[in-house]
Amino acid sequence: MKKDSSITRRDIIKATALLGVTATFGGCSLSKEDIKRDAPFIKKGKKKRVVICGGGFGGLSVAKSLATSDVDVEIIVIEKRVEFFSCPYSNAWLGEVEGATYQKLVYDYFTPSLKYGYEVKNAEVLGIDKKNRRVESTIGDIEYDYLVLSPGIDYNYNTLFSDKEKQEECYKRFPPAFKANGEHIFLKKSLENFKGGTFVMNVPSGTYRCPPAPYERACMIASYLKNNNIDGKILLLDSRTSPAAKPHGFLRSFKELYSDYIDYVPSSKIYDIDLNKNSVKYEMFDKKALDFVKKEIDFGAANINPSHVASKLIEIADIKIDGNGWALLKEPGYISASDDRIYVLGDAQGEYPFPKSGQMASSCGYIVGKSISSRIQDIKFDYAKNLPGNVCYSLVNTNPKEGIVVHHSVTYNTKDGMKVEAIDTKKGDQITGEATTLWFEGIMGDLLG
Amino acid sequence: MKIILILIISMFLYADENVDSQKVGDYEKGRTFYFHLFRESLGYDGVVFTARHKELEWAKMFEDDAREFKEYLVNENSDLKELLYSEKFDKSIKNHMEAFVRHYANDTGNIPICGSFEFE
Ligand SMILES: Cc1cc2nc3c(=O)[nH]c(=O)nc-3n(C[C@H](O)[C@H](O)[C@H](O)COP(=O)(O)OP(=O)(O)OC[C@H]3O[C@@H](n4cnc5c(N)ncnc54)[C@H](O)[C@@H]3O)c2cc1C
Repeated sequence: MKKDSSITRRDIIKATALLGVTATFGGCSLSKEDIKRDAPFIKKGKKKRVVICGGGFGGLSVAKSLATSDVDVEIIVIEKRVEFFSCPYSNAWLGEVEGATYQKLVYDYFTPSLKYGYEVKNAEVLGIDKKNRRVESTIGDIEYDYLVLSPGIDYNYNTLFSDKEKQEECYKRFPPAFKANGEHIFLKKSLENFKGGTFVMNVPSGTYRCPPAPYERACMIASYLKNNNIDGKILLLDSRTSPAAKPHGFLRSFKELYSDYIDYVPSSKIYDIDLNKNSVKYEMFDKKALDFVKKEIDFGAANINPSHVASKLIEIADIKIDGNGWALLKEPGYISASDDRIYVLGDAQGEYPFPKSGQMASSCGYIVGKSISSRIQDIKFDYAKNLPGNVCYSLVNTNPKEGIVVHHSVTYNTKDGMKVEAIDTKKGDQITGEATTLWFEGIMGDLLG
Repeated sequence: MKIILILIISMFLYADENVDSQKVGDYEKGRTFYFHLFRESLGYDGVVFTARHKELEWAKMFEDDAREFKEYLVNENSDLKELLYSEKFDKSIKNHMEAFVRHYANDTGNIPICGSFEFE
């Protein structure tokens, strides 16, 4: 069990608002008060209604699982985006892997909703009225019996630098591309406009979405530079002592495939950026001096990554969170530690040491769907016997297409709690490269039809 | 009353962001120092080491210029004495080390995500 925080994040936000301080930005911009609306109240009928906030990997898996179960239930997914954009495989598009087109990453919500029989409402969730069991949204208040939150992540730039204007400017000029669509398009353009020199990238510090993603991204950018004869080098700054995921496979790829293209600097951290000069200041550990030394470097392009926090929706829901803002749950399930009707899964949960991946969110989503359907039928559900699993592929080369993989297995017992074990491959190969594509096509086909 | 308490807390939160990290301590730097300067002599990964105590227990060991912490480590391996009683430790390592052990203490819930070889 995690440490409780009796002061909720909402309390802190209220207080910080008085001080004119906000911890994060780049998330939802509307407030309930901002919206002058005459929206209808979407009252539920006789059937039980499950409202799912967030139509990403976790949310759509819950929706499909419930819709294909044998309970008669009304399922409403509330999603603020009009299209589904896949972060998985976006690095392949960046690196120009054969067949990895932009179209492969973008999907409509009509197809799965018609195919499986759930409703997707294009709206932003603004608040949760837990007492009356209503979701307050841009299209009105929607009643629920059970509420599922799978809203993903937001960014926290405070760990990079404290100047708020700089944070906003940095987001606009070097968007992280860890959230859907526009940020990825911009990163792709930055790469296409890059004429050479240094391409600065950093790995988010702390717990973040998709641990292998920044290292895979570095490999794909390096491959692009190599294939297009661009005289550039990636400076990959990482506060860890080695890659956060698949360290053997990535370090080997950096050395064997990209020694002229990737300069991987462990134990290093950006602490300032000069947006006029396009330069970053960073500290790195000097193994000879056994101390941190300060450096500054000009760059031609950059992908600056702040830390990740749970989506703002978790703050809005005002449920129990840990010290870093991730939602706390009742072990070993996915019910919020502070509200019996609310389930939380995907990247936004902080109870279990699960890797924050689409596959994990989906695996947990199917379990949550099954558990809600059992609950509606008054059947006891054993979470300990329904554990999630994860497999995570990363491409390290484009030509030939080569990949590496890590498998995570989860065990649970009341004494040790939820434990996760990882087994990863040590070297990229073409079979795993092909498996990466097949995995991606498989999960997209499954969730999006 | 609650809002006053929170105001005070948030003032500290805000202050934290702006003060010199040397004074407050950066757990990621502490992790790096542990990895390069202590791990081999102690024979444990950071994840095992930090999980030996609760956050407040670690905090107590760092009181009085980390007196108890230093004794604790010297007891484990006397080779560490020179480093622990050096000016370098007091000036540039101590605060980061404290942030590190407190961040990953066994009651914080901050366990490294599996597959992340943070302490390797
Ligand atoms: C570059 C990159 C590569 C990746 N590669 C892989 C990979 O190969 N394999 C893998 O398994 N994972 C991968 N991931 C990770 C994966 O994308 C995430 O772990 C996954 O999306 C998490 O699912 P989720 O349901 O928690 O969040 P999301 O999929 O982000 O879904 C959250 C949804 O909630 C919506 N939302 C948020 N707030 C509101 C609101 N207030 N109102 C309405 N809607 C809201 C958002 O618009 C979003 O659509 C990768 C990530 C990145 C960035």
